[in-house]
Amino acid sequence: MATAISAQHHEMTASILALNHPLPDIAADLPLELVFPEFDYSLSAPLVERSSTADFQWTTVKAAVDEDVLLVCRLKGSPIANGEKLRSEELAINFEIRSSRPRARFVAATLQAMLGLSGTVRLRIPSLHLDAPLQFSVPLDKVARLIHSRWLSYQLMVIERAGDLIIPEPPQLSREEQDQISFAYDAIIERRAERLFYQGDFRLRADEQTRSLVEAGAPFTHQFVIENFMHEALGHQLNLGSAAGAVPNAVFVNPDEARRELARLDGHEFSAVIRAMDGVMKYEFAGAPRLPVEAWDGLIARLIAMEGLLDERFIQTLHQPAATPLLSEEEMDALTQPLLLDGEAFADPDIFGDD
Amino acid sequence: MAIVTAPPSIRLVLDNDVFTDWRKYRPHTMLEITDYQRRFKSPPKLASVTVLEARWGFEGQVVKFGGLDPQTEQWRLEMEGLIQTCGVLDFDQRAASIAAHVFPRLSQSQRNRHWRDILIAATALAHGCGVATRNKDDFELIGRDLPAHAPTLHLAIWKP
Repeated sequence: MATAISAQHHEMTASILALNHPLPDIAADLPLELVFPEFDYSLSAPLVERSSTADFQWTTVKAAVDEDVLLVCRLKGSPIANGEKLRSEELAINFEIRSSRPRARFVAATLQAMLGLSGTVRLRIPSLHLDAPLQFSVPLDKVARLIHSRWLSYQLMVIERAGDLIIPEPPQLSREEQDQISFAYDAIIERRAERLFYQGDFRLRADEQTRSLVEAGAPFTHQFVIENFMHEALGHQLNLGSAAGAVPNAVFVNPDEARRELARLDGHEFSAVIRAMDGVMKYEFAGAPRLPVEAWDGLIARLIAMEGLLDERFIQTLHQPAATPLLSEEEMDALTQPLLLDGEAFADPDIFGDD
Repeated sequence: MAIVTAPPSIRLVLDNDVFTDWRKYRPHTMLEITDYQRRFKSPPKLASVTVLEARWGFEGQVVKFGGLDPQTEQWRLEMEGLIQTCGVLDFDQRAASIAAHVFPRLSQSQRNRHWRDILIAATALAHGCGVATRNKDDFELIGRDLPAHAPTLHLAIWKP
């Protein structure tokens, strides 16, 4: 069995084939290679550090996967064949992240998710004469968290690159911070974004057009423009340029107040509360910053391209049980009955007795 | 104070009926889950009351028969896997205040019939999510009586 532990506290276990190989060849420092056949991807990373315990039981190698990401392999083995070979017994893999930049987290999370979703990966460390197939068994909830964390890091990378910013990524992101990041990402990539919205104050012009909206008394789409839409993501200000906002299915909360203002159709501005019956506000960002054409280097571009396969493999694994249902429809029905309460539950004669 | 169709950008909490459909491998639900995962890079969340109802089914069997047969136990483990993978949203203070607002505005029989829907809707609203359900009618009553601080419930209808 092998254990892989990442710097992000995700533990993985893998089976490796029993393997005999010569003792470490100190002279050969060829790069470490990690091959993911199911992702049609192989990673080559130069060794930056190697050490062994005195009895050669544990050997540790560190390989630079990216500028701030090290793959750390700890191999346990016992000498055999008169000490000329090593029998591998245990392998531990750990990603060391040496920066809070989203790039480092993106690289580590992508590779970890790939390890978790690969049937078999092949690890080659030429200087240890190691060429071992590994099978990781990672709980799916951990893979789910890795895929989501990878996505957040990627969105932050896009915001950094398009906005020419440096945004350190904290280890944990609140729901609000995640929403801030997604909003900015959508503005940059989709050129539109939306947010939940109930009601708010808007400046309106006292003219015929506004009066006809108020008099009609029907829902309308309230449109407005924000010249410089400043958006905050993780404490950093990002100018998303000119934004065309729209509140679809809008209604006036106080039409009588609006009518009073509209008694004078002289074009003066007044404030009115508008409610979004759909509960959303939409923006179009024609002037938001854009990603440069060659935004990413080779490594990042290849790892970004894994998105579709990661989704596909994750869904496949998630829905694998559907291929061989365990119970009949009747048996499943018996186990999924609604939890009903009897007639006296929630009884309170003083509040809306029975209907 | 209304129920509206969830736009694609709104994250969702699964109603019990949808979670049951998923556990029963209904193709339309699996397709919706697939689409959702592609959009959000994360499966939809569950409300804690959904976990209560889902586990209740098995616990009832344990009480009745003293345990679960191997297939049923395996199916239970499948369910636990889905719960862990989706993640569960707490019925927190905000959710409690939303539910407390809705409950007394319904009749006793409505409360009995819809108590789970109220707790799910309150959980979703408290966490800024919509609800994926098979049955819009279950939430119509609740939508009528939502408090001003959580006025709009977004619904996605996932049915064949």
